[in-house]
Amino acid sequence: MISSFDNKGFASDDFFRLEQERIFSKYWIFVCFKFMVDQPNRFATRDIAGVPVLVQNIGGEIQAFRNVCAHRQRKLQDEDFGTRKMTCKYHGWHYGADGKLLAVPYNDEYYHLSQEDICKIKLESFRVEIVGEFVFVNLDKDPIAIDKQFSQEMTDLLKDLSGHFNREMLISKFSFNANWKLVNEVLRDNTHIPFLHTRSLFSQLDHKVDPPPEDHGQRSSRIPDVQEISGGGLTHIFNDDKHPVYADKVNRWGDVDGYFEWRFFPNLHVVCPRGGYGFSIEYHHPIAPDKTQATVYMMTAATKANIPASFLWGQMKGARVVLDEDYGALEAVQAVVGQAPGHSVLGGGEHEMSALRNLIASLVRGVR
Amino acid sequence: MSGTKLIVIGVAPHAAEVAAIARETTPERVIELVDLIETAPFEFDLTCLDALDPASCEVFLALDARAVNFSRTYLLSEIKGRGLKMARLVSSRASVPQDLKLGENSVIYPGVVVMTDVTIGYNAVVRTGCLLEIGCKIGNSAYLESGAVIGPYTVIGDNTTVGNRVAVGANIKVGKQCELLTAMTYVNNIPDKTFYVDGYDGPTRIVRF
Ligand code: FES
Ligand SMILES: [Fe+2]
Repeated sequence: MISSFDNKGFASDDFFRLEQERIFSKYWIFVCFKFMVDQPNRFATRDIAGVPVLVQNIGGEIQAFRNVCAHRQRKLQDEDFGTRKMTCKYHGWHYGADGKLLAVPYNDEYYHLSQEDICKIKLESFRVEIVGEFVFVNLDKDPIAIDKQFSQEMTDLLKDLSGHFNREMLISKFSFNANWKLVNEVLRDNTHIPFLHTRSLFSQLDHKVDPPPEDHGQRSSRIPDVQEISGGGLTHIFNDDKHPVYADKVNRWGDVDGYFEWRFFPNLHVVCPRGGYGFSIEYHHPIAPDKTQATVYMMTAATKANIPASFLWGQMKGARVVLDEDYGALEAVQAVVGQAPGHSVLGGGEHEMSALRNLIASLVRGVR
Repeated sequence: MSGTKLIVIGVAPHAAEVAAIARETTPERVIELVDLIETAPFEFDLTCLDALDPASCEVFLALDARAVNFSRTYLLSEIKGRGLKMARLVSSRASVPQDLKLGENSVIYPGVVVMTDVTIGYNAVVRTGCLLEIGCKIGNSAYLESGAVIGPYTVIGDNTTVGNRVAVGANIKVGKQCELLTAMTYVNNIPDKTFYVDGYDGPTRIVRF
């Protein structure tokens, strides 16, 4: 009933700092898709727990580094993604495989670093795991195995979906003033749909609310395994037989005309918005206790024919209507959530949400 | 050309605006407005075309910005496929030079000022108060909202929309299928399929990897 989770966890700087340290610096975090970095010199960047991370293809190998030059600490790559060697734009120091410093312009004339010194200089590197097209990075020097974070079922799913992705992708970013965990929770919440999405989603769905399992009390109060907290699946069936305008131009994933979504702990959300014709991958980047930035990647299923860009962009704008309905509510929660009452009242159907809160609290306390 | 009838086919309110521009510019001409029925998103009932005689009329297809990137191009090819001639419309209240190159089915609204050496492709819309500086090129099916300013020698790609009171600097290349809707001055080249819209952190892009 009364959640044991202290709502200060949605608003406090200390709690946020501990999450960054004990969750985002310890678990596998999604950075980019493999096809974004599958050619030499292609790269993608992402800030993880305050660390600027660079995933770079060097001679065909995908490696991850701290995106900071060893010389005088300029960022090595500026863009979110692109194609460029690992050469610093400030004084031209050049790095290669394993982040080794390869070239120092004016070394003989000016820096006078010994060959021995140069050989010792390396970018800080991080571990990379690739599941299907999903590239994950872990900041921990001795990271947990990725199959401890995601079950076999979930990694198989990522691989299966990956096989259907088209290589033309929309990338959109936007921010809102709410804690990243509130986003996680709204994704686990079915009962808000008639209220927040009255005119959008709700009107298109056969909206059903399922009863909780009998052991919901026990499920709500335990601390789950990290692995169990990622999941999802078919969430809604549509009450019309509308398909995206490009439906006959793609090889769809599956054959069910529904809304599918899966959550991957801690902050990745994978959606098939309408029957496997297209995908939306949403990454929720915690910027501050009260600020989150979403990056949305959208692609159709692999295409049989050319699809005008306006379709993907139209789909993004449509999704944004629904997301803004959610974020509007989350911002209204965020405005007061750190104050009294300090705890939420959660029902039996909200057992997954309770379990997630328990898990996060335990990770932050360091008991796990 | 004013001997032939002008048939404006489209969806309100844009079609009504285009018909109004045609009426005040060529008051002696017979102008008919035909409603295009959208049966499903991006699908239109084209039976209205069957009654038109290519020998006695010109057609102008008038759809709004929402359909700019796709439906207009498709419908245009449907109309031309029936041997119908497409019109070009320049409001008598626009200021355009003799040397303007204007593609078919393009319309220039009142209050537009066009400098010399400007090219505008086919199926483009240049709405009220736009300023097109010397030597600029506006692509096919481009849509310039009211008050857009296109700098000297700047190129706007096909199917690109430039928003209200947006300025694009000089010598800029804006790609195809872009939307520049955030009201500001754009001073860098912009790749294809880039969308600047308020409420996003930076542009949204569509990239083929
Ligand atoms: S800071 Fe990178 S080369 Fe100087
Ligand atoms: Fe929602």
